[in-house]
Amino acid sequence: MRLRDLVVREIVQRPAPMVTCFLAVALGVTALVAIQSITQSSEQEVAGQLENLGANVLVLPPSASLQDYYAADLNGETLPEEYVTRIALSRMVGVEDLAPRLCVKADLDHHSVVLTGVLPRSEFLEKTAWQSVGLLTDGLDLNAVGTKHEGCRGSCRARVLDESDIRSFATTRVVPDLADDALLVGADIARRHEIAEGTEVELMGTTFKVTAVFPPTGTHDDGRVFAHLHTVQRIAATGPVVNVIEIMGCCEDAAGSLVTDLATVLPDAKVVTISHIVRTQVAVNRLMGRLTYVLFAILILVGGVSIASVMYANVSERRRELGTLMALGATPGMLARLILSKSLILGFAGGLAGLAAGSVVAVILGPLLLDVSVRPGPGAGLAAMITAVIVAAASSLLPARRAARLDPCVCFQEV
Amino acid sequence: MQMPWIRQVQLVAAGLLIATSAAHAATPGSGQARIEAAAVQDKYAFLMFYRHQDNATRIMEQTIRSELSRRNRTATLVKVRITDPAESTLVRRFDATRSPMPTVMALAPNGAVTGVYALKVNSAQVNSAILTPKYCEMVKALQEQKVVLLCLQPSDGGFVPKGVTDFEADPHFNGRTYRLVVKAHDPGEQRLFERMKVRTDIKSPVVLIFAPPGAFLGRFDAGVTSRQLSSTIHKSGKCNCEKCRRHRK
Repeated sequence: MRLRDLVVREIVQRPAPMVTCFLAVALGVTALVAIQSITQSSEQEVAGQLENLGANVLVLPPSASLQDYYAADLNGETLPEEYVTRIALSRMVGVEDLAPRLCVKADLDHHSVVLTGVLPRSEFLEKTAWQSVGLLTDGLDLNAVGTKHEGCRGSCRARVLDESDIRSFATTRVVPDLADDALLVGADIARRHEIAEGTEVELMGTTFKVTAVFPPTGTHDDGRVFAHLHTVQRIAATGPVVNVIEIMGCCEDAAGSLVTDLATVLPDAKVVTISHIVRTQVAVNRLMGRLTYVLFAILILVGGVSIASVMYANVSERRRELGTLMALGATPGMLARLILSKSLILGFAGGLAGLAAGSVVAVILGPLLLDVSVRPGPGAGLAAMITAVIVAAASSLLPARRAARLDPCVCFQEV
Repeated sequence: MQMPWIRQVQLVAAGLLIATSAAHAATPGSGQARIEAAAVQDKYAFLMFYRHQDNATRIMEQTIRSELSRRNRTATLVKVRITDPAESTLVRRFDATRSPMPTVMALAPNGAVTGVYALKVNSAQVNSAILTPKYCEMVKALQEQKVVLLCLQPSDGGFVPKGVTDFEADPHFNGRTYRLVVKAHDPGEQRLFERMKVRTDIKSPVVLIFAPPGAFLGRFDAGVTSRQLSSTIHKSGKCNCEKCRRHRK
């Protein structure tokens, strides 16, 4: 009988211990593949969002907690709007744009929506224009245009902003100009309420004209409506306050020094950089990744011990059969290969099943748990499979050695 | 003979006209009236907005008064309490309720805002807000969103470079440029040369180009071409012209 047939029969005739070993290996690999896939997708999502973000510094009320960048203006706390003027007048190096926001709840066709007040760029550019004299001098001193700092690596987004396209707000988070009764509508709200450009919408007793419907951005902004900050302040009777001031720095180099400058100008506010938020998210992702490896190590160890135990028991229980095989001409090497082959098949099958199950779990749980779409990569899965096969082989080394050392005479005497 | 009811209607109409005109004119003694009076006298108005007569307000007022006392003939202080209903027009015009208080704004006789200082101000800042007449013109043009071509000319034999006149004729910038010619020997404009870091003993014209709100774009000699000037402004992204918008898309 060939070795391959022997191995298949061994597995088929004793399914219970084989299934136990298979599940132990598969579970370890499933856990690793699922968590690693979700973690990697989350990191990619963070990197992608960082690229798409307009602002790289946020000014928040001191008591505001920041769980989610896109919902930073939903903290309920407020700052005086004069802080915007302070920043506009301070001519800080590296500041390219400002986007103050105020959110209030409004009722649209008996559905609650978030009405966000945004200050158009034209409003604070007028205040910046009052600084013409100072800007002229700065320009000559720095031999540069605008407020870019020396050695700036930024793309100077503010200058390439298309003044005529109000939809650019969806990606830049800066609106060039906005009429008092203009309303900008997020993609989800427009779809749900069948709102088109040019229609009139009643919000908080005020009639607005829909100036633009934004394309989907995949952020909270899709579920919001936007109007001029001062209009929102008036109809919500909040006074001149904002929830957050987003600041677009020219580049990440400027963001660091801006925090210090902003803290001096606005001592009663909390200043957070996006890189700070991202660092926290990346640290969480890394911790998750490391914990996965620990979990995988534990599970795969359990799987290895399980395989070793099953194989050892198998060799002990089947001494007579193994002795018979040896009497029929099987060599010690063949018996060792028999045991090892069974383990390798278990490791490989368990790893493969774990890889598939982990990928499915990641694709299902990723959007549910972390709101990220997961596309499993082969990296962690292949590593896990190889590890599973190696551990399975290592676990069966001792049982294989014991089988190879069996003496057929002793086996028959015991019978 | 005129009917009596027609006469009555005429009187009512005349009364309404006078009342409307009075509403548009600045109330005597108001901040707006004092600014207008200062402009007529060719004086700067230091418009100081405040909410309460607190310590910061007192210190700011003291600093400005102290500096202006030396320049009584060129500047005056106009204090405006932002909660005063009589000052609502001025408060709205400068959006003062959304500014940190106290805030002082320097207004040149031509209406240009030559400086804004919030919460505190020092003597040097007050002094630097008072500009030369041509400098004021330049700031006003920039605040009106125009591209400024500053031609600094030597004391003798100055001319406006051809590149500048050609640039002004460019349809992309037609009506959006402001040419300012300043002679080096003009004693009132020495400070402008100093601020622009151009020596007064230049032998040929120097052209400086600025974009709103106050961006210095470049310095050229008399041989500058219209193409060089347009290229500089297009490159800076400050042109906001149709051509560049299409290119960005």
